[in-house]
Amino acid sequence: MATLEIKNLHAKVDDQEILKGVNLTIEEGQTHAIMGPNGTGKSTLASVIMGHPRYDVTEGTITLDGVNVLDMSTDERARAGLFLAMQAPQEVPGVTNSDFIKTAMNARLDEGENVSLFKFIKKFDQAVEKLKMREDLPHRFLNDGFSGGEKKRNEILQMRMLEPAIAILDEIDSGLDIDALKTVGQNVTEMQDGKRSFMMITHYQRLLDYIKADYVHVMMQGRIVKSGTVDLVRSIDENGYDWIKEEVGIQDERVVPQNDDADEQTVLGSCATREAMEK
Amino acid sequence: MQVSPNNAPELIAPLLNEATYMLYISQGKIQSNTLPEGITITESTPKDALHANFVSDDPLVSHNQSNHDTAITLEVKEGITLDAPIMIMIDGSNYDYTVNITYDIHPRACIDIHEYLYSTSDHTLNYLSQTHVGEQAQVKLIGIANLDLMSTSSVQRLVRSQASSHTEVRTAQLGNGRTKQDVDMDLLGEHAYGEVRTVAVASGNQEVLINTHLEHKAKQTEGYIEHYGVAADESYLGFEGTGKIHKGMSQSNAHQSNNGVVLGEYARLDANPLLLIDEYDVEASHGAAIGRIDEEQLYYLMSRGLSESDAQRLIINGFLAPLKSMMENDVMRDHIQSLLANKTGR
Repeated sequence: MATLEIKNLHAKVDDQEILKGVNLTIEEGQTHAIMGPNGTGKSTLASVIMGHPRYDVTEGTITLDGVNVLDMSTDERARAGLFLAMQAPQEVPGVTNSDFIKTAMNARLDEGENVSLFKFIKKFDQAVEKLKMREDLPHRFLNDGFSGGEKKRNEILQMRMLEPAIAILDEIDSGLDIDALKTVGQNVTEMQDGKRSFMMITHYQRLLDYIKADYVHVMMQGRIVKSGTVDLVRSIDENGYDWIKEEVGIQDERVVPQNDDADEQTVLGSCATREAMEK
Repeated sequence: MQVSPNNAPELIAPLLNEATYMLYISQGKIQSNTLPEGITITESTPKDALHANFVSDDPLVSHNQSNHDTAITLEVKEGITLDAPIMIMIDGSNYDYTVNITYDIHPRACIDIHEYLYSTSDHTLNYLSQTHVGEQAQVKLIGIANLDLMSTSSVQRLVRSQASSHTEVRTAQLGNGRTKQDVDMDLLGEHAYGEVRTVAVASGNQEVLINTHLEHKAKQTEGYIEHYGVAADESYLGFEGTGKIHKGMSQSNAHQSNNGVVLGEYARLDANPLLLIDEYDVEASHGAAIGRIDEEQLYYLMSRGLSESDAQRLIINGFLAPLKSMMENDVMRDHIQSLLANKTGR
């Protein structure tokens, strides 16, 4: 369907650089897993690709089949074929799931054209069943009062409905119990049709037991420091990330504020929460 | 001489046609009337005994009580239950009017009244309704105002509720003119329940002021005030809500909430929730939440391909969901939605 190309991507939030030169090409039909410890810029990468207003791209390019994505607004990116299943989906009281998805589907059609109600309901019902969600989902408000697992499944349901060319799944496995993870895994696998591409962000190799990835990348300090196949995941699972840090000569893998004072830096490494509270 | 509702302006004719029971007032006269049995209509102000309930220290109220072009009293007989709402259509176009309607709802009656105030010209409409809710009566009073950009209006609704009655007042200000709306409800009998829910959307450089006053004058009464508002463009929208529990009116509940979204950079939305309580053994709460549309919500919807204006429209429509309870048929639903779309410019 499409190729996503990220070159030397630098991005900052609140004047702090988080992404420091990301290079990644996802070709049609490929599934890439992005792994790495907390705070290394994985979710930021997802948000920047989707065009979250809080992030500023300072350098580099993102293109979709050669077209500059950075020039597009968030909704234009979505209509061009990008989809982001978010780590913490918003609750929108007052807006029903079915109104929302219907509007999103109509936005992809020419002006004045509408998706057929019959086809829509059929497709929605099918997606609800496939994701083992409550039957009243269409009438419930968008993520309003949903459990963590329901929200995640609703993201995948939206993906099923919208059929994007490139789907980014940001920690879709967090907050899911093993059965729900299986369900989500099956749904994603079903959509891996050799044309659609995926970028999956995760902490745990267990997601990769359910969804096959062609490539695995490890992010540290705001860039990809190691790439490989699924074998890389096994090494991480057995040995953790330390060997990669050693290999690439990194002490602190995160992109949290760097402190010049060496003493404080060790404190920061061991207890970031306390450090943040004391500030 | 009656005219058919088909002679009504294009915009409101479908609403009249859809109504099972209706009263159409235009040019200061009753033009058409399909009220059912059990409801009598007199073209005059109420009897003295009833009138005493509505004595007010608001000069505008007293003015409208004594100086009016049209005065109508609708008497709903004891125990009447209607299978459909009564639509009261008031067209305020072309002249300056003061219209005064009294609903005298006798005990144990059960009735829905839908008022629609309408105007297409730059005139003043003063509207005063006085509702007397008898013991154990159940009343739903819906008031929608759609008044022209150049018009000025004051809309006052006085409600006096007797023991064990249940009254819901729902109003929507969806017009473009300068508007002041007052709802003044007194819970006079024990176990009376009153609810006032208002949705107001201000746009352009419109000024809309919403006053809601709910007094607990008997024990074990329950009162709710809810205000929902959107201020767009350079408009001003003000909510003044007061819940008052008089001394000795124990075990009463007074609650109030205000919710507002500011759309325009130069729009203003104020909420002043007040609680006046002169009794210890009560439950009361009040609150206000006013802000802009949540950026994260907007981003979330847009990340699925909705344009910013579509996303905004969905969020606003969702926020104004209380309007849905005023859409009793498809014609009214489409009508309200088109008014809303005009107001928020999307």
